[in-house]
Amino acid sequence: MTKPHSRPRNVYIGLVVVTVISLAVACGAAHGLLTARVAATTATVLAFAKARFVVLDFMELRHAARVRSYFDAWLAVVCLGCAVLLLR
Amino acid sequence: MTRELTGTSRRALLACAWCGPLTVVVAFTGWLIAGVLPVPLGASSTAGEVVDFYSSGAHVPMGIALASIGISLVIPVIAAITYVMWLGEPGAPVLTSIQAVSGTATTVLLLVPMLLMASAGFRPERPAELTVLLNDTAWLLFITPVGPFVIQNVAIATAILSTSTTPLPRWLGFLNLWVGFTFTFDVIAYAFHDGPFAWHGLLIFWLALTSYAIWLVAMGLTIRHVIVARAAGRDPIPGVA
Amino acid sequence: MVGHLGRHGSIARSAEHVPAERGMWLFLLADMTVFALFFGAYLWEFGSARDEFTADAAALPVPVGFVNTLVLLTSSFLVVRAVEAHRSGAFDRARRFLGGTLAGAGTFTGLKLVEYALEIAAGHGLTTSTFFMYYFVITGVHLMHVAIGTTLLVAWQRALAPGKAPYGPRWAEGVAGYWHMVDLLWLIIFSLLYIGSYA
Repeated sequence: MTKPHSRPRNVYIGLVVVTVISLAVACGAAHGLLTARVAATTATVLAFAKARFVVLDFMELRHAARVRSYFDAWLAVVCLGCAVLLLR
Repeated sequence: MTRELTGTSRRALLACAWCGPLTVVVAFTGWLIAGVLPVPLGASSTAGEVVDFYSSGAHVPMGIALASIGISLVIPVIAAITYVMWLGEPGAPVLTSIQAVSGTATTVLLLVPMLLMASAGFRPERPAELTVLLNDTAWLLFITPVGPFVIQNVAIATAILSTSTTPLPRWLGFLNLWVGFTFTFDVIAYAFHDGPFAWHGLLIFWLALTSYAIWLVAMGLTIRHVIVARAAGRDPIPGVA
Repeated sequence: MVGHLGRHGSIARSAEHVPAERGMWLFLLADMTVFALFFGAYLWEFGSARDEFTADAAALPVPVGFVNTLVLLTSSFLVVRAVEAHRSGAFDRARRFLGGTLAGAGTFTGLKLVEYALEIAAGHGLTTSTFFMYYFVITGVHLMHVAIGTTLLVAWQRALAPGKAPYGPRWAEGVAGYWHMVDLLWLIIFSLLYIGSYA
């Protein structure tokens, strides 16, 4: 196991990196590298992936089996709904 | 605790608790008779549609009058909440008082718009713009004065979540916080005639109607549970979830 | 449930450790579900007027939203550290971390108000277009959550001052959870309103 403090810190750094990547994806669309729909959907799926790390490592629900499953279900349903509405 | 329940006061309190679900049943019946439900007049309705609605017959004012009686049944619910909160609040009953006063104001603010709607149906042959004015006033007064109710929710939630002596379960405290939240943004109905944030919109009327109905049923049935458990000499608190 | 205290800041990794209490998390999920309805309504209308929405969204200052995302992520991370410090009884350290979080909350609110001022000055308002209706309502209700969260964080921090009785760790975990929800919702809002519509 790693040091107790290192995991939230690594997750935090990862979330910052993904935020920058999301913005780059949007710029990619602005420069015609991706279609607007694909770019928006990619950025949204990335946002929900980030949200899941907030749930698991910031809210510390990684080891709270039942509550975690509720959050996972919420994220999955809402993310899927958003993706469908964006791609339609 | 001092002042335990005698036979008559216990039965009266049980009746108060049942008034929670009963409010929903009577008010919904009245609105269905009047035609307010399933699809109410909207912020985008034309003057013609509004006048047509109110002049479609005596079932409109009578159904709304029935709904106003249903809404009056909130009064006993507030009284029962006040008693149960008072039982559990250590020291001076400050949160209990806030709840009682704000709950009373909420009831009045729900009752008055019903009477305005019924009045709109009383003489619908008047100039159309007057009926539109009455209808707008009634609906905006019905939907937007959310402050008192949110204060009541927060008072109940604080009493439940911050004390261990309350006989009410903790989930009910969180439910009150959520119900209060679903009402907070209803004031934006003043800005829109169309869409989900207009007074008849999904996120204003329908969300508030749903969460208020959930609140009445949950408060009523939980208080019933508390009274029955106390009468049987049981501790009504099942423990933190 | 018990036994996660006094372990030098680390959490007992038992199978069923629930921070705060289950009812609190269900409340947060219910709260987030109202936001999910907002998102659904927004995307529904977005799908039928893409060009109009994209043109309006281009008026949003994306760099401000981007900085605010980093600010909230940082403040959330500092709350994690504050909870760790609180659990291990290092109340002074917890108070300093919370000071950082509150600075983040203040920065976010300040930038948001600057953003609103810029948009209103440019002629955009609550009722000027469907996009800006959703923009102002969704970010406004989110800002209300920032304000509520800030109030809770201030209460937590003040109770950690020397000579005061600090709240229990479960209370701290509850406030922390609320603040993380504020962060989580903003991640989605930023993606949907700023990046998704801008693209």
